[in-house]
Amino acid sequence: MDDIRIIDLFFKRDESAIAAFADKYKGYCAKIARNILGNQEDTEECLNDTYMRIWDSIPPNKPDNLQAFAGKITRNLAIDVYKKKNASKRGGIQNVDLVLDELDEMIPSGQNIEEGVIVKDIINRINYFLYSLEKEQRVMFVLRYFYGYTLDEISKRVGRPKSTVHNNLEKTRNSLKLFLERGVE
Amino acid sequence: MKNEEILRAMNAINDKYIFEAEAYRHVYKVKLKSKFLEMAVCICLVLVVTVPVLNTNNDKYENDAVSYTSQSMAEDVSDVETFSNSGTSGSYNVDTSAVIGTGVNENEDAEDRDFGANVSFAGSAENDMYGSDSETGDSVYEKSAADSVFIKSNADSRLVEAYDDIFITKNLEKILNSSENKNTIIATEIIFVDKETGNCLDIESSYSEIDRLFTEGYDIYIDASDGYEKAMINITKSQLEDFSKDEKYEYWFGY
Repeated sequence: MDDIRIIDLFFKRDESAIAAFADKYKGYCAKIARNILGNQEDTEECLNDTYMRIWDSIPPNKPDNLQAFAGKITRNLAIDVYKKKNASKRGGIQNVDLVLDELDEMIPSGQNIEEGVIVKDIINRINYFLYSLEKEQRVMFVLRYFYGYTLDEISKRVGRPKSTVHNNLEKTRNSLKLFLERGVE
Repeated sequence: MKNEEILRAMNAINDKYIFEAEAYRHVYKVKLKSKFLEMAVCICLVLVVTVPVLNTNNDKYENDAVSYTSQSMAEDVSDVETFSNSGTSGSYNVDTSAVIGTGVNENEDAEDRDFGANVSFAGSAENDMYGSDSETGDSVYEKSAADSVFIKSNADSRLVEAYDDIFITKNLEKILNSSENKNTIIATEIIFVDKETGNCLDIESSYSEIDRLFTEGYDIYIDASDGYEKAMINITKSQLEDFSKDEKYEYWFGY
């Protein structure tokens, strides 16, 4: 079933919309949740929350891209679960911890501006920065920091050696950091 | 700012980048190589199929001509002898009525024939043997321009087609568009083809037959018409004798 029909079902408050959505995007959402949470139990819980959140969000929202919309909801919910369950355990064991550490490197330090404004500003800049990247470089970045893929998974996806992916991501992070620092100054 | 918040903030990146990353699949070079190989194999297959077909088409003309001459000649030694014998015994009646009787176009006035009216030829008018009918589009076999022999008796001024084809086998060049070479025929051999049977006479029999016709007072014409001009060339006995003597003889035919 195509996205438009699924969204129509949500708008009609037809419960078969959830089944249709799950049929099409369960795997996609599960992958995102699993990359962040790292276990099946939490992933299933996150998926159920995702279906409920989407049921509540559509309407009033009418997403142009249902896949990206669902991915973002799943990701937010997975981060919430992660924060709740792993706040005291952070030690860099799981993949998401590595991702968080890498993200930490990118953020310019020493801002005095109100945090919400900074986040909004940083997102705008990251989008602009992504736009300026080569496609493969951008894909690696998004796979790593949005989807939370491991280096091995990215390596298979883009057909590059793991070391190349690692170096490429490091180079991109450094470039982004410089880019964001110039913005803060 | 906590890095979890940055992680969450990454949610706000553009949807198209999210979609692009999910849909991205590396195209392996191996696939490109295999595609290249597939294309190379396809080209080879096309060549393997088309080259023999083209050769077959080209050979068709040659084979047809060769088989028509050599095979017919080989098969019809007895016919040649028959002609020779008939020439000497006089059993072959060559008066006008007899010739008319044997001809397919017995009532046709040769001068009134509309050569090439319905038949178009792709190549030179002299040598092309195949064309297509402009009305039906069907392929037709048509005599080349200078391949008919006509006779005319003193009693009857009409030209009568005596032989369906005359093969001038080695060199026939008639360049009508060149003023210097107009109606110049270069010939080394002339072979008659019997109109009824399609059998070829050998060179000697052809000349003896022509000689007999001359002896009995007939004028002989070669149809040298082409798509541009209509021309019936009268051949004299001496000219034919020259043909038979010289290995390669160039002669100016006036008409």
